[in-house]
Amino acid sequence: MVIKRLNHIIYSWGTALLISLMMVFTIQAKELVLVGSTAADFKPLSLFETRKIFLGYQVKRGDITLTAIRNINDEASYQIFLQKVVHLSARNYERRLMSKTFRTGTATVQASESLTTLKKQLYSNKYSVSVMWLKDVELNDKLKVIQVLWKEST
Amino acid sequence: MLRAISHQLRKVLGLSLLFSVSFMTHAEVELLIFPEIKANYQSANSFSTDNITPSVDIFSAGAIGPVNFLAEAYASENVQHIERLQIGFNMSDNSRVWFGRHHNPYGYWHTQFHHGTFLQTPISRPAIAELGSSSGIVPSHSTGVLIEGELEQGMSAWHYTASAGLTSSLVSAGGGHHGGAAERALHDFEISNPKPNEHKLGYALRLAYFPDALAETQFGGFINHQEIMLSLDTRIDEVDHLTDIIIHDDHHSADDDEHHTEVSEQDMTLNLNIVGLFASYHQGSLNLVGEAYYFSAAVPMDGQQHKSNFSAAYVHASYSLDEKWTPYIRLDTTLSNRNNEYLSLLDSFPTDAYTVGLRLDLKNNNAFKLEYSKRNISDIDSERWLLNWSAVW
Repeated sequence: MVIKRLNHIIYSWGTALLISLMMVFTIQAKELVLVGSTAADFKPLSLFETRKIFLGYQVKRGDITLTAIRNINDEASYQIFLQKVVHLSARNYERRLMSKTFRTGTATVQASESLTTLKKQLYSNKYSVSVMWLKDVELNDKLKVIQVLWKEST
Repeated sequence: MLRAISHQLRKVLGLSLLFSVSFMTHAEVELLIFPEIKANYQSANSFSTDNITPSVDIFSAGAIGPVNFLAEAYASENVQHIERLQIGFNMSDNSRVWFGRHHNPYGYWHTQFHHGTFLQTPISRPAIAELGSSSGIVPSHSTGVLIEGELEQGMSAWHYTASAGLTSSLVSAGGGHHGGAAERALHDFEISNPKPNEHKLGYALRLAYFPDALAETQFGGFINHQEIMLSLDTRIDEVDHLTDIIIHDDHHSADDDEHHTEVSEQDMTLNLNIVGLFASYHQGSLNLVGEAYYFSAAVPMDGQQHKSNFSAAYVHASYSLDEKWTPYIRLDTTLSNRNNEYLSLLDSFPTDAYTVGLRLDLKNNNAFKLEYSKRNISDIDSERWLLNWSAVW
């Protein structure tokens, strides 16, 4: 009798947990976020400043110049970044960066093809920022979300 | 022969040293390499391998502490040039001063595109933005000081540039610096082969307004004052009346010397003033560019300065159908150019032209372009086909 009741409880809780987990995974929308090291203590960037830094222009906090690193590891997040942040196609964005460097001699915006390398770059310089999926930052205690850039509509 | 080889060797060694220094320092260096192969066919001319020109443009820039540097070299089979060689400092977050050989800051096209033709949509440049040594009528480079900066106003910005330095001279070209076939051409001051006595000063001031500081749409204007020295054989009276100039020989007299000195000082400088307006509009896949320049030239002739004015303009339109295909069209025109003394010196300048072309972008920053132009040069119409492969690595 007790065992039967225990089985029933486990079954009920198990089912509830499974349903909850399913709901979490189906409802949680994708979010593209601007990230930096947890040591980063500068105030968030405006959308204009975010676009500015990823187009290779200088953005400062106090006397320090922030550095942007492009995350080209994930095609889907890069496409959203292009559409929502820099407002250019991949081809035009590349050409804009090259053209600016060729014209003015200023440094281009670095790109990282590996998420692991990108994270290491962010750990090593608290004034570096990049763009990632929220899920790639959430469980990482060395990175923090500076601001949300885009959220999937559910 | 040996002297020529030695000169070329010196250039190559100089360039190698320049780029080696860039890499050996601890500076973060940007390096861009622009290879290009261009084939051209002009009506009434035969086609041979001479019409195919491979070339490469190598660009390097970076900073070593507070010092910025920028170097660019261009090389084809017949021509090797240090295009830009600049050392500079940041005067503030938004302004810089550069010393060395830089682009003469005029107009839109010339400040946006130079070598590295991959970056520009068409193969050819608009007539008024053509490189000085290749049928162009405005000096391309200046060697001296350049100050540039940005003034941000909310989300819009002003860009300013001021330049002063040794400008071009006008020489018998025997083929332009970038493969042009001009008889006479503007010849920039060369760092690798400096001849300061053959160049005078030029000044330029350019101002551009960006409604969106981060976008490419811009409007602006500029002024240029150029004092262009003429070599003896390019003076217009020399061109028209070959006996007008006294040439030194073994039997010259003191009077000859005096007269020659007088000719050198008074009659060897052409004063060119240019005022221009430009606009570039980008909206989605559409790009419209227009520029209009007013030229005022004082050309030495028969012991006097003959003043003449003319205007020139172009409009360019391109539309990207997708990430690969971009058709484009351009119209060039010149007004009040009849019997203009300055243009008669640079008679390979196309006074009127229309150009259509198609660009195909491939993966990994490669592009093929095909272009047709009908041009009027010295009252003669000619057709030109260009085929080009360009890339950036």
